[in-house]
Amino acid sequence: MRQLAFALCLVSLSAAAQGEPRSVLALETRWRTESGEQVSLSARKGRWYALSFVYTSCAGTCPLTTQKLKRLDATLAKAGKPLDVVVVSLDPEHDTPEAVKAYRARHQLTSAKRWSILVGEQEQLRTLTMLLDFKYSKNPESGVIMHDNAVFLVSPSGEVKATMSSLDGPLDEFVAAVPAPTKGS
Amino acid sequence: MRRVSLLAMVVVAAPVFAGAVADLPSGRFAPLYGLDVGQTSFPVRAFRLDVRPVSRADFAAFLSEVPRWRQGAVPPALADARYLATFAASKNPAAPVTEVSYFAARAYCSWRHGRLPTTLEWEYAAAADETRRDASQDGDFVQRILDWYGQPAREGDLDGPGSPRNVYGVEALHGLVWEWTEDFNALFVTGDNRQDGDISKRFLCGAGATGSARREDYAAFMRYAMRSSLEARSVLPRLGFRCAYDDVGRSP
Repeated sequence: MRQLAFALCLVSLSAAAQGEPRSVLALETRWRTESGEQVSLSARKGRWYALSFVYTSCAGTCPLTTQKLKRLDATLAKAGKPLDVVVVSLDPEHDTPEAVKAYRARHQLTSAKRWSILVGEQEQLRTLTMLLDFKYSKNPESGVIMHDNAVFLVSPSGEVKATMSSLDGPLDEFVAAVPAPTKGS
Repeated sequence: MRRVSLLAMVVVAAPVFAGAVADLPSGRFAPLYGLDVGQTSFPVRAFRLDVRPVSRADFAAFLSEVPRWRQGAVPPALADARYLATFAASKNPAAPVTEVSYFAARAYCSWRHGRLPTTLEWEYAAAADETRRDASQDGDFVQRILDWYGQPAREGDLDGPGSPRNVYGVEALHGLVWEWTEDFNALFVTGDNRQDGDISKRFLCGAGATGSARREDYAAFMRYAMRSSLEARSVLPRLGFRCAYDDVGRSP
C-alpha cells in the first residue's frame, strides 16, 4: 500500500504542470451583468483587470474576498493605476440580478463603475475556472460551495500575470504587477 | 503523414465509431469525499454513459470534423506538449484514446451532444461489479482494482478489454485507463479552505484517506488522489475519458 502511495506521488509530480500559461481567452465564455447585458471576456481584450469569484449567499470567505478587492481597488486608485474588477458568481442558479444588486448594496458597491459582477451558465463557469485551475465544489444537498480563494491579474491579452490569496497576505506584489497607465490611455 | 493515414483508415473503415450507451438509473451514492457531517449519501439523477471509453477511432472522427483540436492546433493553455503525442503511431483504433486534455475531452463530448460525467456519476457507475450496484465495500473487488493500479505501464496495455460489463452494462471502468470527469479537481479534504488553494495538491502525498466516508475503499482514494494531481491541460499516456448524456430513455 505504501508503495502504491509513493508511486502516485511520483505520478503527481510529473503530471501537474506548474507555471504553464493560463489564458482566460483560450476558450470563449459568455456572461450576463445584473442589468441583463450579455458580455464575454474577450470584449475586455486590451484592458488589465482583477478577476475573482464569490457567490452572494456565501457566509464564509466571500465577504472577505470582497473586502480585499475593495482594498486593492482603493490602493491602486491611490497609486494612479486604477484597475477594473471582475467578480464572477460561483452560484449561477441563485445569483439572480436582484441578488447581485443586493450584494452590491451590502458592500457599498452600487456606484463602483469599474466593478462588473458576472453570472453565467454552470458550463461557462466550469470552463473559466478550469482555465484558471480554480477549484470549486457545490454540495448537492446543502448547496454550500467549497472553493479556492484567489484573485487573478489578467493582462490585455487574457493571460494571468499575478495571483494572490483573496483572504490574507499583503497586496504589494499584486499591486506592483499592475502597470502604470501609458499616457493618453 | 502518419496521422493523416490513421484518419483516412478510420473514415473508410469506421468499425467502432460512437459506441453503445448504457442507461443508469437514479439512486443514492456515498462518494469517498464531499459529504458533510450528517450526510450519508448524495442523490444521483438517472443518466446515460458510454459503455466503453472513447476510442482512438471515435476521436479521429472528431478530429476530422473539428480541426481546431488536432495536434499542433491546440494552444498550450488547453493541452500540454504531449497532446496526442503517440496518436498517429497507434495501431489499434479500438483502443481508448489517451493523451487528451480535459478541454479536448470535453469538446469531444460536446460534439457528441453529451458531456463528461461528474465525479459522483463516474464513481457511482464504477462502484458496481457484474452483479451488484455497489461492490465497493467488497475487499476482493477493491483488490482487483488495486492490482491494476499497482502494475507498471506496458506496451499493449490499452488493447485489453478492461473490467467486465457491470450490472449497469458499463465496461472497462477499471483496468484500462484513468478517466477525466467534469469536476475532476473539485476536491476539498478539510472543512475549512481559508488557508490557501493548494490543499488538494498537498493531500496527494498524504498517507491516508482520513476524513473520507469509506476508508476501506483505498482504490477510490487512489482515483481521487490521481484526479487532484491533474490540471485541465494535463495529458497522460493512460488517461482517457468517456461521455455522459442527460437524455435518458432515448436510443443513442
